[in-house]
Amino acid sequence: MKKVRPFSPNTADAPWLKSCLIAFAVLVVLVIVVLPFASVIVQAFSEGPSIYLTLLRSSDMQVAVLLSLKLAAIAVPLNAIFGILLVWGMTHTQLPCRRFIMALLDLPFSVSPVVVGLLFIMLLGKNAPLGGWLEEHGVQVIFAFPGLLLATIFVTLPFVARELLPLMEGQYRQEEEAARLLGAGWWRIFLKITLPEIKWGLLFSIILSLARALGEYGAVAVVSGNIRGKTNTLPLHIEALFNDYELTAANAAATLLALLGVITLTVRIVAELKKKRDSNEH
Amino acid sequence: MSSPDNSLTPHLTLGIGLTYVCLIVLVPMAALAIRMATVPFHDIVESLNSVRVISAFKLSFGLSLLAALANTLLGLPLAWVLARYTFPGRKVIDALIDMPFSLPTAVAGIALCGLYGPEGWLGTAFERIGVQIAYTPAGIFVAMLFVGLPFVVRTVQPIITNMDFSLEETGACLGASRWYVFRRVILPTLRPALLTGFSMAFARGVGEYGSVVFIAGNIPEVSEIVPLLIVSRLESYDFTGAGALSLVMLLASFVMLLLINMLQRRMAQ
Amino acid sequence: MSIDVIDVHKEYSGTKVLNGISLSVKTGQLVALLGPSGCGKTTLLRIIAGLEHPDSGTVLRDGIDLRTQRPGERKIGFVFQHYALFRHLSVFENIAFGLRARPKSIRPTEEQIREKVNSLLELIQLDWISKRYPDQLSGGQRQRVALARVLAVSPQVLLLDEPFGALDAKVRVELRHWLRERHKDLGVTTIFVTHDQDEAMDVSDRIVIINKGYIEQEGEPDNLYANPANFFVCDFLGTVNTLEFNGKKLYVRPHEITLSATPGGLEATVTAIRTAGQMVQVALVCNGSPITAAISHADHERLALKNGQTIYATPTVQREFPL
Repeated sequence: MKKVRPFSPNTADAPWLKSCLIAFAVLVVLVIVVLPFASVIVQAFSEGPSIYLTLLRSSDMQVAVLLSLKLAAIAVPLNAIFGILLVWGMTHTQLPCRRFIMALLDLPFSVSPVVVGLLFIMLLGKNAPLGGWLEEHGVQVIFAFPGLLLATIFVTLPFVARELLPLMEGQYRQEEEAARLLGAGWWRIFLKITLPEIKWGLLFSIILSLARALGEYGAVAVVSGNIRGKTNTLPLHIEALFNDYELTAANAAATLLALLGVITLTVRIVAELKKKRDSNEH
Repeated sequence: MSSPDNSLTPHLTLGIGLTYVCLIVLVPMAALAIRMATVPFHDIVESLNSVRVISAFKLSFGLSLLAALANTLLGLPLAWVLARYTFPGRKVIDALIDMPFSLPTAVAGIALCGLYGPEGWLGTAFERIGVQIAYTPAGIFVAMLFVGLPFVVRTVQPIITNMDFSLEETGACLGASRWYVFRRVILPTLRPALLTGFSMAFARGVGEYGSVVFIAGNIPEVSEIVPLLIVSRLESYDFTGAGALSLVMLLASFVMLLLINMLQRRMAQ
Repeated sequence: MSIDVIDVHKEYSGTKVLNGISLSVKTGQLVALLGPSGCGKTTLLRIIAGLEHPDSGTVLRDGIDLRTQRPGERKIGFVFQHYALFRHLSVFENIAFGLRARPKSIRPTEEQIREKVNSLLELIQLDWISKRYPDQLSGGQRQRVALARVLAVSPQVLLLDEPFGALDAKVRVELRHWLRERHKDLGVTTIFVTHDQDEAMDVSDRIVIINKGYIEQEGEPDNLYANPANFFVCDFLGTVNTLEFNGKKLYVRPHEITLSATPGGLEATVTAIRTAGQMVQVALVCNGSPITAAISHADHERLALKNGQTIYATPTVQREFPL
């Protein structure tokens, strides 16, 4: 049979177009995402690795890291526990104002972080009734740890609840009803049926909120007052160093947070793979 | 659904969870509302009616719009490539798209500043052709482009992945060219997702602070966006002025949220 | 327009889907490609349409090699199993799609497009819903719109992939007859894929039975049913009993068995009787294996069958297949 030149079917993209688009995608990701990242690392190590390590060991830096960790360690578990309670309640009751709660959960993501900070100043600042009353009783919120904590809680509030809501509405509900007919109590149902179903989503959303808590800048900046070595979180410390033209130190601090970004990304990929594998097994 | 003897538990957990959310989210908002209610309406209008405020709003919304548009134009081919083609390194590119989501904004800020600054790799390159990016509105645009990139890609990509091949094949069988099929079949199918991604990127750009402050230059009436103006008013103890700006920003967030929700509901159909 | 498929092979990542299929369809014929799912029938249809390349072999339309022609150039219409209607376009615009997609030089005028689409809407008896969108149509209506959309570009060959697969039973039978009628009117050479033997028997002029990438047998429906070439075809086209009779292995359909109360033939025990239907279905156990016989209601009354009764079965045909 004689050879015939095969056409490229017009149901697929032409090979030249395909190559162009792939090259374009790689270029966009390289310029927009990879280059800034590389720039941070190069600048952080611009004076050599030993200087880099010295910078990370400075006391201001350590205090900042510790403060950030402390904020995350309180804010994330709180949001996770209350998030689970909320979503569990939402999925096990017939609620007329569901949409309203959803909107409430969306708000912290869509409000500018600066506005978040301002809201807390309006509530708990010196000039506010509640803030003034607290101040009289010796409790300072704004420009102090409680303010930072509240701002952190606000911006990380939705992560767990938003991730779990669709999962808890999922197909496992029939298993749950079967368990209830067999006489299992709520706590047992939660441990044995709900938790295994949501564990990857829960882990994933906790990691996301952890990253956001450690890395939040705008909301925290407004309520912190930037007292170095006292109310400076790691991101705020980066800004302080940057404003003092200590670029190498600022970038060194940034690598710590960037590392956090990479870890988040990795965990996200692993969690998604696990989730896929789990659902394949079903 | 729930039997009467044990229906108390979910209501209780719902009550606790809802109280928590309201305490954290609603109470501070109520505080702003009450505070602003005591200020004469005239004063609020006054504080918003200045050249500096108006140019900040123009800058914030204008640049966000531009960046969201650019992100839509970049995001569509990116989503297409990731959804349709297999090539070495595809998984890496796919993962890197999420980087702007997981990188703290302060890091993005100084990273972009280092890259586009006068001594940065791209900064010097642009300088040679006479364009300054850092400390100008162009810098703000670059930062918004960075933080908004994942939105369009991540909303459009699953739609392309799940799109029925037979639609394109039908088009081809009916004699349409690939380009015609793209315009009349593929693009209309993706339109709601593109709009959703666009709105999300826009909303993020309007509120963005951390990645912008470092590179913006923050010159009033030139490169000062609204969140920056709020901060500067707070620092000068102008609570009314900052509150008024925040009210407008909150209102904008509500509108965007509503719009995005509507679009998403349309997408789900 | 005739279609000739010549020795087509197709493989997907090591799995052979088509193993040298040759087939010719004459002008105006209505042919069914019948086979179990995964037998390669849809792949064959897609190769004829130009949506896939054969690894070797070719497809001719009126003797013209189609391998260099793209799907849209082949004058072949293809209707997908789930119709693939464009959900953002109205019924009217769906049907007009192929006409509007033509390059400017050969594109009909707006007036001509409207005329053509309206006449097709009349043909499918849906002119009253031309402004609706696919989501607002029933399954049967969608199917007809998909057909009209293909007919708009005046194809000389029509390919239908499981055209009735997604419909419920009643609509399916109605549409079958409707399609049969339209085929009579239009006379377009038509090939359709199905896994339902009733459908193939009911609609087509000719049936091609495909299994595991080979053509098992082809021919007119009645002939295939009466004279299957092998066990697969026999089994696929209807119920068949395997009987040991006079030392031979026979393949006998339920209605090809007579039952008698007087000894002779095979001794069997009645296990169940179903009288609903045109024939009475009698389940029997014969030498330990179950068989089914179909007898007339008159015979049933005459024999007065009861469960557990012993009866004698005799095959009326001597159908054998070489192993």
